[in-house]
Amino acid sequence: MEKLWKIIDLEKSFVIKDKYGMTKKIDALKNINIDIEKGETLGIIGESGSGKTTLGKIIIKLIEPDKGKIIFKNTDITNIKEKNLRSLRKKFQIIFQNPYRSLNPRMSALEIVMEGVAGNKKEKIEKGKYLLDLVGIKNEKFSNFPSQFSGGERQRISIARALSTEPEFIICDEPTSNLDLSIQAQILNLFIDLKEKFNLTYLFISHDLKVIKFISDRIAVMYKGEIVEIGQTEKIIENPQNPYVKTLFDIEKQQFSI
Amino acid sequence: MVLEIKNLVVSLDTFYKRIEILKNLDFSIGKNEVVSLVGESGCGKTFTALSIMKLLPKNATIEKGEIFIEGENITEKSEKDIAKIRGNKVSMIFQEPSSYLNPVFTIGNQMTECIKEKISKKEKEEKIFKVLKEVNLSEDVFFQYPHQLSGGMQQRVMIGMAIINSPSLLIADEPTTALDVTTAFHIINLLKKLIKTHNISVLFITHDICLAINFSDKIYVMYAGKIVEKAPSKKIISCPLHPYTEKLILCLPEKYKKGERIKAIPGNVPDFSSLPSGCAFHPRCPYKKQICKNFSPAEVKIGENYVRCFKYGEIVENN
Repeated sequence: MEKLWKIIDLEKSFVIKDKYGMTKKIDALKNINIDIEKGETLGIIGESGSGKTTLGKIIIKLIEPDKGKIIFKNTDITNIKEKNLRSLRKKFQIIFQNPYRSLNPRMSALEIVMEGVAGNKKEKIEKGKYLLDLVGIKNEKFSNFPSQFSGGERQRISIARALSTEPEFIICDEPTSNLDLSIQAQILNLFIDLKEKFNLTYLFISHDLKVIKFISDRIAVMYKGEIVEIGQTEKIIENPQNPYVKTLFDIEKQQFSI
Repeated sequence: MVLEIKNLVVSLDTFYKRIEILKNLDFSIGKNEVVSLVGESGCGKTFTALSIMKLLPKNATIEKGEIFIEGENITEKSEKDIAKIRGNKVSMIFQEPSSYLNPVFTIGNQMTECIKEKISKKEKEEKIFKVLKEVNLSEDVFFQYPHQLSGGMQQRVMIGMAIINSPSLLIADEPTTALDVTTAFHIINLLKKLIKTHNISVLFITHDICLAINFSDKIYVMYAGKIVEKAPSKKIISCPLHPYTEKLILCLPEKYKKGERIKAIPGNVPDFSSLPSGCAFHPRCPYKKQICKNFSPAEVKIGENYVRCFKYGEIVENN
C-alpha cells in the first residue's frame, strides 16, 4: 500500500513557566516514528497531556517540530516554505474537539462550508449545499448561524467544512468526546460513510478506547509523549505487550464495558 | 428509605416563559443502596441532585411534590434548617473538583470548615488525618493548596470532605468525567470501598451507562426530565424495556464489529424549551403509535422494572 505520511524521529519540547516563575523544558514528543498508509484509519489513544493533539498538529505543520522529518507523499515538508505549504494544506484538514469554539459565530453554515471550495461563486454555493446535505444538515437550516445548531449538528458542519477542500487526509481530534452517546453513534457512522465515499485517510485521536476500537484499523498508544505500542487493532487488544497498555485495557474491561 | 422523592415537579423561569424541567419525579433510595441516574446531557440529572440538596438556582421553583431525607420532609424547611442537613446527612461531590475548592485556603483549612461536630481543634485535626488516610492521601496534603494537587488528588479531597460527617446519602455528580481512565478507575474503586465501610447510600449521576452498570445496584434512566425506566443494573442490559434504553445500549460502539454501522437513534436530544408533545421520546422512537403523540404514559411495573411506555399497556398519566 502507498504510504501517505512518514514521520521519522520526531521530537518536540515546549518551554513553560512553572508556578514559581522558573522556566522549564517539557518534552511533549519523543522519538515518534509512524507511517500512515493511504486509506487506513490510525487511532491514537492516550491520557490527557500525553501529546496526542501536539502530534496531530505537528503532522499538518500547525506547530513546528524541533527535530525529525515529516514526509507527505514522498516530499519532505519539514522545512517547506509557507507559500508552498498553503497549496498543500488543501490536502489535509482537521476537525476539532469542541464544535462550539471551532466555527465562526458570524458566518452561516453555508458560508462556513463554501469558504474552502475552489471555483466561482455559483460553484461554491452548489458544492457547499451538496456537502451540507451529505453530512445530514436539513435544507432549511443552511443559512442558520452556528449558535442555532445543536452540538451534533455543529460537528456535522465542521466535517462538511473539512471536506470542502477535497482533502485526502483528515485529523479527527476527539471529534465525539463532547457529544452524547446517541449523537456520537450518528457521527461515527458518518465518518465511516465519508471514508468509503471519498477514499479518505483518518488520524483519529481519542481518549475513549471504545470509540478507537470501533473505528481504527491500527492503534497507536501514547504515554508521556512516546508511542509505547502500535499495531493492528485486533492484535493489540487481544495481546498487548506494553505493561501500561495492558493495565489500560484491563481497566476498560473491568469498569467501563458491559 | 434514605431518600424518597414523591411527584416532584420543578420549573425554571426563563426570559420567555416558565418551563417544567422535572416532571413527576418519583423514586427512592434504600439503605446502603447504590442508584445510578443515567441520561444524556440536558435531561435533568444535575437538576435532580440540586433539588435534593436545595441548591437550585434562584429562578427555579419546586411547584409540587415532596422530598424526604430519612423520613424528614425537606421541601418546606427554612434555609437555616437545610444548612444542618446539607453536608451532614446528605453530601455531594461534583464533576470538576478544581472549581469547588477554594484556591486561597489550604486543604486542611477547608476540611476543618466542613466538620459540623463541635469538637476541639486538635480532635478536628486528628479526624481530618484519619479521613485523608482513608482516601489514600498523605498527611502533607493538609498543608497544601488546591493548585498543588492533581485532578485525581483534588477529587479525593472532595470525597474526603463529603464523607467526613458520615452522611447517610452521598450524591456524586459525574465524579470521574473530568479524569483520565486510570485515575477514574482508582476513584471509582475508592468510592466503592468507602460506601461499604461507611454504610452510605449513593445517588450516582453519570452519562456513561457502562460505568453505571458496573457501579450500582439499580439504574434509573432519565429522558427529558422524566425517569423513563427503573431497573436493577443486571436487568438493564439483558432486557431493557423502554425503547430509549434499548436503543441507547445499541449506540455503544463496542457492540459492533469493525466496518459495521452503529444502529444510531435518529434525531437530537430535545431541548426543554421545545419539548415534543405526549411522550417526549416519540419523534425518535421506532415503536411510536398514535397515542404517543398526544398523551404521556404512566409508570407501569413489569417484573422488577418500572417503565413509562405505551408499548406495555396504554395507561395515560394523569396530572
